[in-house]
Amino acid sequence: MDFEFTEEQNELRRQVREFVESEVAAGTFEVTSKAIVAEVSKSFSRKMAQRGWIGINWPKEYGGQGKGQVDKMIMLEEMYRYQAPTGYHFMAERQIGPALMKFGTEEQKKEFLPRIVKAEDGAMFCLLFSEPDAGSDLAAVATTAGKEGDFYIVNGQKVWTSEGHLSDYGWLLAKTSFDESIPKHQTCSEFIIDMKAPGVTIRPLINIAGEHSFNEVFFDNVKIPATSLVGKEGDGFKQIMAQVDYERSGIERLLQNYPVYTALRKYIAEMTPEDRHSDYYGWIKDVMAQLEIEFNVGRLMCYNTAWIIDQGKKPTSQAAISKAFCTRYEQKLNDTAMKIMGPSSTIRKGSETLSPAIDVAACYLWGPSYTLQGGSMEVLKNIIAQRGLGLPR
Amino acid sequence: MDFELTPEQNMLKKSFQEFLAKECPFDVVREIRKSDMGYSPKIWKKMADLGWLGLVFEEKYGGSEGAFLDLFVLFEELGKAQLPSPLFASPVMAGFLISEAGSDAQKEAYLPRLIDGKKIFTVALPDETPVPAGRKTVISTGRNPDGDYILNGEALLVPHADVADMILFCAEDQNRSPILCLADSKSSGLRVSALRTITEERKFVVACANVRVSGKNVIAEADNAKAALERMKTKAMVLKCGEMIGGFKQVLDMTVNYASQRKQFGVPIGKFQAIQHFCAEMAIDLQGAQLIAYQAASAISSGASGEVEAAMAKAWCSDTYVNATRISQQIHGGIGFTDEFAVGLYFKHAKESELMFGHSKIKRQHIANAIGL
Ligand SMILES: Cc1cc2nc3c(=O)[nH]c(=O)nc-3n(C[C@H](O)[C@H](O)[C@H](O)COP(=O)(O)OP(=O)(O)OC[C@H]3O[C@@H](n4cnc5c(N)ncnc54)[C@H](O)[C@@H]3O)c2cc1C
Repeated sequence: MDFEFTEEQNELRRQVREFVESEVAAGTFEVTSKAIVAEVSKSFSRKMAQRGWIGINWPKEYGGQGKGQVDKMIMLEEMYRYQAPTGYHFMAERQIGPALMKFGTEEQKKEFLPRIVKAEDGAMFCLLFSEPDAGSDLAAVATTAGKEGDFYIVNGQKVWTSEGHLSDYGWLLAKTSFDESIPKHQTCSEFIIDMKAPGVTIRPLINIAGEHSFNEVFFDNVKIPATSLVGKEGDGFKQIMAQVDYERSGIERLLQNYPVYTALRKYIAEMTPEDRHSDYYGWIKDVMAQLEIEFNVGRLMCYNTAWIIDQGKKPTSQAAISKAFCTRYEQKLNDTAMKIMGPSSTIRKGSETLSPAIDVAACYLWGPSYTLQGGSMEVLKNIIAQRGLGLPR
Repeated sequence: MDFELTPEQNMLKKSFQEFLAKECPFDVVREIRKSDMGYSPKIWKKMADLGWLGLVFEEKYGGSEGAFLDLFVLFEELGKAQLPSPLFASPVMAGFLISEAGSDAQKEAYLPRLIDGKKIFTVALPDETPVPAGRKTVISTGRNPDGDYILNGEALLVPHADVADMILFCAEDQNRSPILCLADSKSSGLRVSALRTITEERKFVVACANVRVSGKNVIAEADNAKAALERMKTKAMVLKCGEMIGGFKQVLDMTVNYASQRKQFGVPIGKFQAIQHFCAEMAIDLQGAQLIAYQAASAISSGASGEVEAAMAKAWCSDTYVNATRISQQIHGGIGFTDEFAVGLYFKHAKESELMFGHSKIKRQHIANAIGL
């Protein structure tokens, strides 16, 4: 049992912190909330790449540093305290790269892995999984990819595609088998699809925070080369399930709203001495201490999951526990922040006057999405109960 | 980072588990609870012979100078087994105070007997929460010409006071400055009367009417006493957290087990999503409780004060364990509400543990102060 980091890890943390703080000081990016995925900056990603921080946990043969998941988490923790704009490489590094290493062909690895690790042009990916009728029940996708000679022809519709409008490629789940007798989770396959291919139409969806982040994506006879297939035909669902632990275990689930916490602490610190001796302040201390405890618990869960991955084990239940816990923490943080900061916290960024540096209201509005995307709270609890605790299905 | 015990600690843990499984299955635990002594001298002796009472004490007093984490692991197992014994009162509370603050002569005089289990010590602590103005506490009303301290007042909820040889009082002088002193339980003027409490583990009121304590039995006074008390409480609190996560794990296992067996509407109730989600909630909270409690235990084990970690662990473990035992009662239906069935034991243990050393609201005040609010 050891809750301390190694000297080398402390050094990594120090380097990353120094780098991010100097970038903030230089004004390369604005410290806001939820920028991890949403803020796309090729130049920032390249700076990280130069330091070996993209693919830090990838094997050296694929251009990575060969470090562990815990190391990656240390690096991300420092990045996300300031919401560094990692949107350009975020998805590709977290999910696409590892999936390609595991299931991709040599050509696919050669084509994409170096590009991702170096944050070169054409390395931004989005996930084309969800559909209007396939949400939690992902295996129910209806988008089809029918094989015709050396090509697949894609038809159908995806929805909630985050950053689809900014991405170069999509990581697509589509149906490749139309045999009714085959169980539905054996009927789909994974593909890489060029988002600029003829027949792909992307339409923005505006979310309740008034922002354009996710999209609808339509495929109308999109012709993609057969070499775009990743892994085996019919294995798509299985392959995705093999990767979701990475999607769920990240510390981004805990830190998307870290600037809200910072702003909240500043707000409290600036309260008047009279306020600080009120009953109300007693309540503030109580809820802030609870946040502190829960942040600590969430952080331990993230590192614990990362550590399990580093031991070569599959953290399915732990990752689900971690995501369930951390997303709820984030919702609570935003809710608590609005209560403490009072009515003025409803003023949004971009307001003609009094525009806040940190848009706490926007963070609150984003809240519901945390417990939906990447496995809803209820789906995670099903996983914990059935796979973790072994309750009957 | 390493989230596993060392192989040696795992062996130790296994030996704790084996002993407890063999010596005190649930029916024995219940019997001991209802017995007049409130503990089993036979099991106590075996525990002492195995060295459990001296795990973290110095070798020269008969201890084995093990790591605090070893002791923590023991308490985790005790939390599962729910074995009543003076282990918490004697080596932990009294033992820590004596070894933290006692003089060499005092350690020499008391620790060897405490560690070999031949003598039982207990501690009379003041409440963590404010009490009504009329409630008496133990105070030192002055010193007689021989230099003896005179104790008056009463202490509540003192564990194992009826069988204890020595009682360590956390008294106060008239200026509310603390005095830690040891009194022989046979001292004249000292009266012990039994209380019936939530866990059915008997606790006692210790009433003092001009009890004389010789100056050489004063362990510490004023700031030294205060500091020793805080250090002891921090460690004891973390061991309590160990007990709580052990109990919590046991409750979850029992609940999952029951939900998989019990059938209604033709299926195991564990197939119902409402039940599954209750269990998942427990699993999430337990995971957090284990991590945060081990974090505190590791901090102390590595020599840090661990105060904030301990407060966080106590707050989180208290809230989540109490909640889990409430859920476990719901999932077990009527059977869980019977005295026959073991799950109720944890429902009681959780509530009692929550209130010891301060519940979450109190701990959160400490944390808030510690983070500069
Ligand atoms: C901000 C945001 C970004 C997203 N980005 C992407 C993206 O980039 N790419 C992508 O492919 N998808 C993306 N998604 C989609 C996301 O993965 C889905 O929203 C999610 O899988 C849930 O599907 P759904 O919205 O259809 O809800 P549904 O599956 O219809 O769920 C509705 C409700 O029913 C509950 N429910 C469903 N099944 C069960 C069950 N078995 N047991 C108990 N309760 C159940 C759910 O928990 C939920 O409360 C994004 C979503 C959001 C909100």
